[in-house]
Amino acid sequence: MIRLSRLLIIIVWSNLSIPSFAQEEGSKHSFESYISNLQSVMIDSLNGNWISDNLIHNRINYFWYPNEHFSFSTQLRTRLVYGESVKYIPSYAASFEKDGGIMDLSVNLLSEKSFLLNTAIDRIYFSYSRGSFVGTLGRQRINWGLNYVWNPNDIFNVQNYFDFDYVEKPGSDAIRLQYYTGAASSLELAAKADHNQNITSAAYYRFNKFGYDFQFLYGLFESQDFVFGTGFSGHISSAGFKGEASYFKPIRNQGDTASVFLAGIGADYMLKNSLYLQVEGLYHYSDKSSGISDFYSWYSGDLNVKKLAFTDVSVFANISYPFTPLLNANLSCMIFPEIKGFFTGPSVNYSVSQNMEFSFISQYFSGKIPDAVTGEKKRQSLFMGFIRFKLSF
Amino acid sequence: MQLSKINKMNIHNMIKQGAFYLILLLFSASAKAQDAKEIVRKANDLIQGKSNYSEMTMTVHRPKWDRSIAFKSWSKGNDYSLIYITEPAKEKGQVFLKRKTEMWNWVPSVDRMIKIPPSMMMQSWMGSDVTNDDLVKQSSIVDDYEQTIEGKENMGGYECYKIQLIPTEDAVVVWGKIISWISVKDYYTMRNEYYDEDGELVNVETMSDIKNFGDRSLPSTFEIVPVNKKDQSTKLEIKTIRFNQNMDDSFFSLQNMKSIR
Repeated sequence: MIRLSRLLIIIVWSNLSIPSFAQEEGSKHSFESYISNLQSVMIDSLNGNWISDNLIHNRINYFWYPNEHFSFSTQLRTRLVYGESVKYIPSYAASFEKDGGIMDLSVNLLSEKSFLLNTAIDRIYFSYSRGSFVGTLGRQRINWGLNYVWNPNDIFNVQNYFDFDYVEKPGSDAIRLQYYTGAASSLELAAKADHNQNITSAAYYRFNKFGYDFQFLYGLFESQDFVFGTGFSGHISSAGFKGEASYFKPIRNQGDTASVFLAGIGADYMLKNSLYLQVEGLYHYSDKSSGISDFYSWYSGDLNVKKLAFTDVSVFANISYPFTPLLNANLSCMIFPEIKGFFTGPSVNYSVSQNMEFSFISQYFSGKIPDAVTGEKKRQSLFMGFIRFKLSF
Repeated sequence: MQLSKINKMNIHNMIKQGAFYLILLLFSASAKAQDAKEIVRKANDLIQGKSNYSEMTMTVHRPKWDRSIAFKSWSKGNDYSLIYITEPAKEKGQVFLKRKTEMWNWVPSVDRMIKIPPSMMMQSWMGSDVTNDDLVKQSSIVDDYEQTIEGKENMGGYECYKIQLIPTEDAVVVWGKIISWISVKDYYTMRNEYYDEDGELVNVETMSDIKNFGDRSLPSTFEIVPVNKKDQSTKLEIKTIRFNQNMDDSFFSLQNMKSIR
């Protein structure tokens, strides 16, 4: 598999370096790219070990439109990271190289004591469309989420709200068939396989009625559960109003399987002066314990839609305001009553030039979490600070 | 709110003008008002057509910086509009769809379709003097206003009708009054003055660079200058525009949002 992935990456790179592919009007080829530098520090106690890292991150998206019916895309993500995480976290390099899909398309090109260079293809798909039908095969993102933070309906590849530096998320190795039954309605069938050869497959229907979008989905989740989900998105007066719920029921009752119910609801509103307000709540029920042992492992681990929450109720609020058109400040908060915990994330975003932005982002978690060994509840805190320059071209 | 203010203003004006003047208006000005509406309709049809496809750039100018956005736009009447962002690089590929009173935003990088609440429609891009509502033409300059001809003036080298537009009582619009200069011969809109509900001049929009776009000629540059803000402007430039393209209502669909480019 490694060989195949190296070969694919070489093919993609060599394609990308052909200058005659430069984008033109009506071109059959199109590129998008960004490069960012993210400096981070992680602190669990002021007098403890501060862990600082630097990540240089490049993304290249390539699209090819050979004719009106076919399209092809491949998207390459390359990261150079150096710092204390590489040095001191034993499995760090391996976690970079791990590919969650059935194809292994992530390679550590260089992995040394203090730095790591990884490149990965997180999208590679063919798409065919004719009339109201669209079929897509390959590594792709299938996103059925409607809410802003927590998406119980996003069963293929749930987003991690805290991972702001990778909004694209890894793709799913999947086949997706979409049939548009109207201007704002569609029927879909999708199936993916992951690296453990677990299958997630579902039928999905969305439609528009009374000024709302509604959706329903039913299927199989990671070869273990039946999943049923529904969601809506619309507005009350001029405020946005949306919600999503999913129920996961194990096919067979085994030791590690759990019935899970997730329901989220949210609203957002923008005032005339551009002050933007958002609230969202998530209810999570599981018939097995779903607590966490520490924030970091939850934060850095693979997020799975069934593990979207670690408390029964989570509440989110966000306020955002452009002090000038170039400078946007944002304050988001979450409350986790069950663990007497909270998250707060103030951030500032500044548009340096037409294509360059500077961001300062901080994330602070605190809560009473049971010790993995003794079970004794102890307050744990984690602070992360980030400075990012991002250039898009 | 703004609506009731407009109503109050109208009632106030009516009382001030007196019943006699009102009766006079009803008899003598009805034919004239029809003419004014017709002129505004022709000017509006000239720039919108039944449907159009256009490529535009919008530049926001402020004393210390400039930012620009480029987009392709498909629109049909006031009900249907589709906008594809081509620049800046960060926002490229995003699509906005308007179908009657509903609006969606497609974000391809995260494969996400977002239904936009009405409060977001009034948002302007990068603090520009144009709101999303202006771009997707929520309100109609023909149907949501009462038009009257105030005279003729020369504007940008063209003899123009000077037309006053006052919002109709039930119109949900941003402005309290608009004065529009429309050229007599070709129905080019050469200048618009936008007044708030208190009758204060807020924005001046000037059109220039008349270009031939195939079946018609049009001013290709629109510059909006806020009156009370020094060295600020928003400029819209039409690069390409084609009219009365065959566009079915079903063209404005979630499917096309994802495939358009």
